[in-house]
Amino acid sequence: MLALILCLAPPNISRERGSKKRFLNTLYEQYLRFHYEMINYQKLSGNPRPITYVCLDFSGSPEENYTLLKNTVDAVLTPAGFK
Amino acid sequence: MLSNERYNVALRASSLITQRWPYIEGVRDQLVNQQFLTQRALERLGIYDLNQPVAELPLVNTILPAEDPPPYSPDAMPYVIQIAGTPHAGKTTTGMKLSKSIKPSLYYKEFFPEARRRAESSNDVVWVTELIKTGFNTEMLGAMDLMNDGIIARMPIFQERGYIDQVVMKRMHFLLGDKNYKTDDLDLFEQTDFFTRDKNFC
Repeated sequence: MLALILCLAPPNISRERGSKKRFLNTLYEQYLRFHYEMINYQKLSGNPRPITYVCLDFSGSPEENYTLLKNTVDAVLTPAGFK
Repeated sequence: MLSNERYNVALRASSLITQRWPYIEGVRDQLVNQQFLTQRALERLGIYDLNQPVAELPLVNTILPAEDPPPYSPDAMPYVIQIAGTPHAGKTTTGMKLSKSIKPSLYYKEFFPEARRRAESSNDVVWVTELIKTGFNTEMLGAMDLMNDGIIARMPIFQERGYIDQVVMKRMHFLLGDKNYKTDDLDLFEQTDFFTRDKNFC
């Protein structure tokens, strides 16, 4: 049983938080494209998506991000009988 | 949407990578040595649908349940949650805080061997956020295979270790999990001289 949670913040937010990485814009775009392909997994691959996939907007405050992730993990784990 | 032809090219690429560079670290080095794959290279590979405007992608707070999940068994294996994302998104900070509030079913482990031990000794949730910072080596590969033979098990993420390559590699191994994956097409893709032995490739 697997779940992938993708936490995304736009390049400007990453920079504001201190990231000095190069190619942030390009990296972000690649993540978006990956996101697109996960959303359209069955259409692209012909197979049902075998994992739970989550994409979260992590551009908010730390508290907002925490609440978001906590609620998400709760939602992901509940059907599996862990909560 | 990717055409079937382009999608098949990507599949061949993924299989070729694995056969040519069986160890992930080696694959990553290959990519890093090329700086990164340019958009042109991606287009030539057919990996991405470049006609899809990024701005139109639905982005935030999407939860998509598995459409074909393996049957749940309490004796089977732990539930693995893998966290990925952009730099400075707050994955580590949030994950650490969350790990303290959800016990005992959720574990946060910075280094994968510990998570592996936990996985082998319990059926609890394994929180593998920091796996992405430890890179990917053969030990991890074996451990991940122990956990599950699904897509994520073969999907390394190289946080802090690259840019486009981490997503590209993720996708390559993601594709390897495709049930229609075939090795018959390898020769065809070999002819394209994948990964820049031809310096003009990128």
